[in-house]
Formats: sequence, structure tokens, C-alpha cells
Amino acid sequence: MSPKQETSLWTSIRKTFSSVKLTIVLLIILAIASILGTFIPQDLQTATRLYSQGTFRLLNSLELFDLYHSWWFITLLFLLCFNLVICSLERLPRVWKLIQSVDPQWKDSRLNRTSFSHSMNLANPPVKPEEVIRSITRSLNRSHGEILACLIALAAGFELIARLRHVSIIWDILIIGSALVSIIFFIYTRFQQPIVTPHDQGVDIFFNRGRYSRLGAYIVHVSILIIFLGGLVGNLLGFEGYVEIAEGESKESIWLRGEDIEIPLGFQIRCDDFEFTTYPGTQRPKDYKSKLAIIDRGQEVTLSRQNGVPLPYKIIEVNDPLTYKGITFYQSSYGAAADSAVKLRVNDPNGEEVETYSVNVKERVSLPDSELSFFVFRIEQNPDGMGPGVQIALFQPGQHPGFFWIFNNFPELDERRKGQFVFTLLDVEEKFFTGLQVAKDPGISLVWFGCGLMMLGLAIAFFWSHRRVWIRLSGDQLMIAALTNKQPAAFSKAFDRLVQFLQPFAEK
Amino acid sequence: MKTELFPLSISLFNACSLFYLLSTLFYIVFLAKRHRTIGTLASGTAWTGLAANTAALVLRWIAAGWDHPPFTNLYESLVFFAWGIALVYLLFEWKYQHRVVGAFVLTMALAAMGLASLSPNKEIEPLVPALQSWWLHIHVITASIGYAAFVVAFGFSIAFLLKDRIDLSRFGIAAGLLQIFTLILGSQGSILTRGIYQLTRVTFIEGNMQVVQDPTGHHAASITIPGVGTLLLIALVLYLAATILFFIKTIKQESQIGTHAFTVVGAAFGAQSLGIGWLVFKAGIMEEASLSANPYGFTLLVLAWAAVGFLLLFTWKYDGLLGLLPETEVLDTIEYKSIMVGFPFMTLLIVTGAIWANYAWGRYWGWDPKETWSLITWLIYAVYLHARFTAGWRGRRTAYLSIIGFISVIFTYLGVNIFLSGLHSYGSG
Repeated sequence: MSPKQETSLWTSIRKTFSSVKLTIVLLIILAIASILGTFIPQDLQTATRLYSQGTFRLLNSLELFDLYHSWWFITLLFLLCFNLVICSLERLPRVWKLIQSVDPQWKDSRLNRTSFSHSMNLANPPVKPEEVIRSITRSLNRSHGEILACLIALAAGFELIARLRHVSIIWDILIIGSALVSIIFFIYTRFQQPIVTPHDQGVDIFFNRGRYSRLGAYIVHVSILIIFLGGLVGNLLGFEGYVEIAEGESKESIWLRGEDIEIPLGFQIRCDDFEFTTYPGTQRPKDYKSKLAIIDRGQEVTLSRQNGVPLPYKIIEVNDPLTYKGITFYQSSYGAAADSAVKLRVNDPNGEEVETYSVNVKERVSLPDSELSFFVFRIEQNPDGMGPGVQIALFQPGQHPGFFWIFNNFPELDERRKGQFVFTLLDVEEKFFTGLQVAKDPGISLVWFGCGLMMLGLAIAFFWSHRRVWIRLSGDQLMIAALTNKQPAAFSKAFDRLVQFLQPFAEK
Repeated sequence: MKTELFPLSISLFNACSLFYLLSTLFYIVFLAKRHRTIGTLASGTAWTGLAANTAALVLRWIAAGWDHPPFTNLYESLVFFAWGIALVYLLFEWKYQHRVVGAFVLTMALAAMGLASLSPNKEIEPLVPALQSWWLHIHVITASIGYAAFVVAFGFSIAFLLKDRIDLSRFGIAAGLLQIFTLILGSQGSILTRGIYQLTRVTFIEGNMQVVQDPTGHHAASITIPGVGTLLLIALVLYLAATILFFIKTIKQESQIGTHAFTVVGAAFGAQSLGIGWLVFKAGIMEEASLSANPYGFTLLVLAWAAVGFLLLFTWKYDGLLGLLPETEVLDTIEYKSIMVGFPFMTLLIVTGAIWANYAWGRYWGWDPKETWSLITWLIYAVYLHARFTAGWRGRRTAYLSIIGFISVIFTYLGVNIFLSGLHSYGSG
């Protein structure tokens, strides 16, 4: 292929992907696809229930039941990224030129072209340029003070909240880092010197502030790419899984979510205790906590501290997980372990006691003088707000087993079933297992960094502008003209203030 | 002392609703009459309502304890949303000195308070473990301010379209379609198929409302409210006729058709008003019916009805309104300024949501319906900003985008809870 043909292929790709129209088209398709995914069930179980065989097969072939991970959705995301990169690369040189092009010459035409212009007769010419510069700097720095104050307050607020809830070190670094960078940058701009050009007619002074604010939008776009990258890294190198550990038990591997794959942890995790509290007088869960220990290469690892004393365990709860070697364990759920004991009483329909049993889950018991047998199928702490209950499976030869629930709080309930026997739940001696969500995401710091960068980029793009002020001191005249690329209303106030600060030099 | 604060806060919430209602009425009268005194009264009652709202929220927070902020269940969330709308709107009104959009925006605040008052559960419920986090605070506050800013932007978009002399028939078509949609959806189709309107059957046990199950035990039972279905069916048919007439008018451009269409709308509005009034009356006196059993359906009905009310007001007082509204450039500018406020908050909302989700559930993004829809809302407003700054769009096109964004906000905030389920649902809303 000749070089000319190669260039034209790349050029046409570049041309397609540098169009903002393509961005809008891609965004609209992605939006419609995402909306579709909220109406079409994203798990196969519900989908098979909801749709007829034919429809199901058709929709499944397009991967509509796992839309957000389908090949075409991911392709669209990649196309969007590529589009973003090319668009930015195409437009960046021009913006960079604008930033670097410094134009300190006074031009008389500026007085007419911009609405921010003013001329005054000087009371005591000639005026020292340094004095004019000082007044103008003081005036321009006024508005900086407000923004800086807001930024610091915001950073301080986040830092305070982060400290209160043991957020990770990376977050601390990011917040303090960006706050520091912003503070340094603002201090730098305050001391930025204007360009002074003396000439035979007088002196020209040129203030050029906030030119890097033109990069705001590009920072936002880069941050989006960083977030995507973080998501990609997390998807490729990380995993999401689940593990159930009974009290006293330890596990060495976890199960991958949605698939039957076991992933070895490389260490052991043990559940020493599980605690479940409800709000007094209600069945509403207040807290559930697991005391977790980690044994790595035979050693118990220090996981937390109390009064400076290192402890070989950490008590986790919802919103407060345990992280070890990049793997994080989240308190997700819990349940009754297999060796829980259930105490129940069986009566005949007249109310006469037949027998009291103490059984384990799934331990089959035959009922006296009958063909019936039963076992406890499930224990639930609080199904439907009914309080502690167990589900009984009742077996009769030649028939499907019947399932029913009995509840600790409603001892008479089973009479309504009008069965051959009446069951009453006396006590549940529960041993629990803790259900932990397990996740590894090496890309997460990238994602958080991208988010922080995006907020910074938005702040710059929206609230910081490129302001240029030209002054000519000539004879007994002082002329000012100014331009801003954004926020004309706010700049109007700043310009009025500027003129106000220069009033001392003017003729009364 | 803490236990006395709770009933006091409920009384303050009721007072606040009353003030928002008065304020909305004053703003509407202000649109029609343009008296400065009425305008001042409108703002005054709005500020009073906001004060009551703030006091009520603070008292409720104290009563519940420091780490239980007043926005953790649906009732609290709605009241907090109303507070946000009122606050952001009044700040914009104070800065720009324009009262014209007060009517539309305060209607939304009123709707939120109304929906809240229909909520069956106003108690302070202790927090479940997932909600015991500081991220809850930031997440909900950014949501309230962000959404409020978008509601204000919506108000200004409507005002812009009016001042820009949009053909009111287009509003007519939109309003007509909205009525048809809400009447059918709000009654789950029963108005169209059987000409009746039903509420969920309930009983009251010791003051607590309990839903009655139907004999199969799988669904909630329904109770027909007599007369309402007929009235609403008449309204539905008339709205359909009006929409068709409006549509013809936009094609043929004969003002006669427009007049006829508005007459039909007026009749439909009358029938609908009677229907809603009768519904409220009957639900109040019937033992087994309560509007609290179907708060969303009813609020939707009333909001749609209000939209038609506004449309009729615009038609009736068109010239006066045009004189009252500031220049289109001003309306256009304030519209985009409110979106410039809303967008960073919306971004922060999504980010804090992701951070919180990561601590609670172990993943920062799961394509949950709520997460997905908030992203879509964010995208719509991102398109708005690009259309404005990169493509130079102004005026009508950006106003339409703002309205689309607003619809997305409402769906993200309430629609997802009603129609879709996920980790975000507040339980049995």
C-alpha cells in the first residue's frame, strides 16, 4: 500500500472520530441502551419467567439480559473513548496556542470593541506604572480570595468527613493533594506580574490571568477516560465474589459471583463471632457485625488497633469493610448455619402434646403413629417482619412434600393449617454464618482519582475564566480595555471594581 | 424533651405545606394580575414556608439523634426535596428579582409536600445498617440541591417558551398526551377498560393502615370509588379529542380550530376537576379507601391536572403574561445558570453515590436502575452544556433539552422507585 493510501485511511478515521456529532449519536445510543437495561430484567431467572421461549431466545442472543456487559455495549463504550481522545487531540493544539499567545500591545480599537473599557484623565501625571499595577492587582485578587476560600472549605469538609470514617490513605492523599495544588496555584496567580512595555508614547501594561482555565473542559474529558480506564482495569484484573463463613469456621477461597468458579485467597479468613442486634421492641435490624481474623502463612495478622494495642481481628459491619492484600470483605448478609438447633413441639389437633423435638436443620424426624416425617428446611430471623421463624418440610409417602412456616411470635398460627399435627416453634438456638461480599479491584484508585479530577475540571471550566486587561498610560490619559472568555456578568462586577480602585488617580 | 419535638415537627411540616399552598396561589394570581403587592405576598409566604420547613427538619433531626439525618425514608426525602426546591428557587428569585416562574417551581415543592403528606409512614424509623453512614448526608444534600436547580431551570424553560411565543397548541398537545398517559397509568388502565377508578383496599388497625389482600392472597384488593371513573373517562375522551384538534391546528394553522381545542380542554379540565374532587371527598368518607394507599398515582393525577390548569391560565392571560415576563435573553440566561449550578451537584451526587455504594455493597457501579437513570440525567444535561457552549445552541432548542432533562430528573427520583426495583427502593413505597 502506498503511503498516500495509508494516510487517507487514517485521515478518514480521524475525521469520523473527531466529530462532536458522533459523540452525540454515541451518547444517545448508549442512553437508549442503558434505559432499555432498566426495563428488561438483567438476571436470567426473572427473564425466563417473564418471557415466552421464543422471545427469550431472541432477546438472549443479543445479550439483552446482561446488557451492560454485552459485546456491543462495551464496543460502544470503547468507540466513545476513542472519539473523546481524537476530539481532544484535534482541538488541543488550537487551545494551547490561544493560551500561549500573549498579546500585550495596546490597541486603540480595543476601546470600542469590548464593553469593558474605560478611559480617565489623570489628576497628577505622570503616574508611576508600579502604583497602577498595585491597585489593579489588589482589585483582581479580590475575586480570587472568594474562590480560594470555597475550595479550602470544601477540601477541609471532605477531609473531616474522611477522617471520621476511616477512609483509605489514597483518598486522603488525593484530597489534601488537590487542595494543596489549588492553594499553590492561586498563590502563584496572585503574585503573577503583568507585562510592562514602555515606549515613546508612554507605558503599556498587560495582565493575563487565568489562561489555563481554557483547559478546564479537557481536564474533564481526561478524567472521564481515567475513570473508564479504572473500570477496565478493575474488570480485567479484579473480581467480585461471595463467601459464607460459619462462626468458628475459616475459609481459604471464595466463590465468584454468577459463576461456579472458586478463587483461592492466598490466606485464610476466619469468622470468630457474628452478632446481630435489632432495635428494642421491633424486629428492625440495627447492626450486624462479624469478627474476622486472617491467618497468613500460619500467622495471625494485625487487623485493627484499640488504644494503640494491635488486635488480630477486625469487627466489620455494613459500611465498614476489611481489606487485606487488595481483597476487601464487606458485610453483606447472614443466615442460620447448618448446625443450628431448633426446638419445637408437636401437638395433635385436640391440643394434646405428642412430642417435643430438638433438631438440626435438615435432620429428618418421623412422627409417631403416622407415616409422616418432617425436617426443618430453613431458619429465618425475621421473614416479612414476622419475627424468628422456621420453614418445615412435611413428608408423606407418595406425595410431594408440603412446606409451611411456623413463627416464634405466633404460636397458634399452625392450627389454621388444619394438618394432622400442629407444630409450635419453641426456640431457635442459632449458629450463624456471615455472608461476605468479596471484591478485588485494582483499578479503584484510578476511578477515585478520575472522579476527583472531574470535579476539579468542572470547577475550572465553570467558574474560572481567562481574563486579559490592557492598560495604556499616555501623557495625562489612562485607558483600560478588558476581555473575558466566560462569565461576563461576574467579570462586569470585577471590572467595575477595577475602575473603582483606579479612581484615586483620576481627576476630580 | 426529645419526644415532644417530633409532633411539633409534624405540625411545622403541615404549616409549611399550607404556606407553600398559599404561596403557589399568590404566584398564580400574580401571573394573572401583575400586582406588586401580590408578588411580595407570594415571596413572603414562600420564605415563611421555607422557614417552617427548615425548623421542622431541624427539630426532626434533633428528635432522631445526631447520626440520623431527616432524609432516610420516603416521607423525609420528599420533604427535604421540597425544602431544596424552595431554597434554590428563592435564592434565584432574590438574586435576579424575577417572580414569574414562582408559580411553576413552587407547584413542584407543593407536590412534593403533598405526596409526603400522603405517605402512610411519617414515623422516625431507626436506620438499617446500610444507611448508617456519613455518605448518606452528602449524597442526599447534593441530590436535593442538584435536582432543585434543575426544577428551577425547568421553570425558566417554560417561561422562555411562553415569551418566545411558542404556539400554545404545542403545549396543548403535550398537556393532552400527559393527561391521557397519567389517567390510564394512574388507574392502571381501569378507566379505559372498565370506566372505573380504584384505590387499594385498606383497613385501619389501631390507627395503622394495612393493605387488604384479595382472596388469592397474591395481590392487594381494590375498592372502586363510585362515580370517579365515569367523570375521568369523560375527561380522558375529551382530552383525546382536544389533542387531535391541537395536532390538526399545528398542521393547518387555523386559529378557529385552536379555539375549539381549548374549549374542549376547558370542558375536559372541568370534568377532571370534578372527578378529582369527588375522589378526594369519597376517599375521605369511605372506610376502606384512603389516598395514602396510592400516593404516587394520586399525586401524578393532581400534577397532570395542574399542568392543564397552567395551560388554561396561559391561554386566558396570554398578553398579560407576555408583558410580565422579562426578555427572552434573560430567561434563557437564568435557565442555563441554574443548570450550571445543578450540573456540578449532579456530578457530586453520582460520585458520592459510587463511593458510598463501594463501602456498603462492595462495588461502586452496578448498573442499578437508580444509578443508570441518574447517569442518563447527567448525560442529558452534559448534552445541554455541549449544545450551548460547543455548538452554540440557544433559545428553543436548549429549552427543550432542559425540559427533557427535567422529565429525566422526575423519573430518576420517583419513577425508578415506582416502576423499577433495585437496591435503592425505599421498601414498599
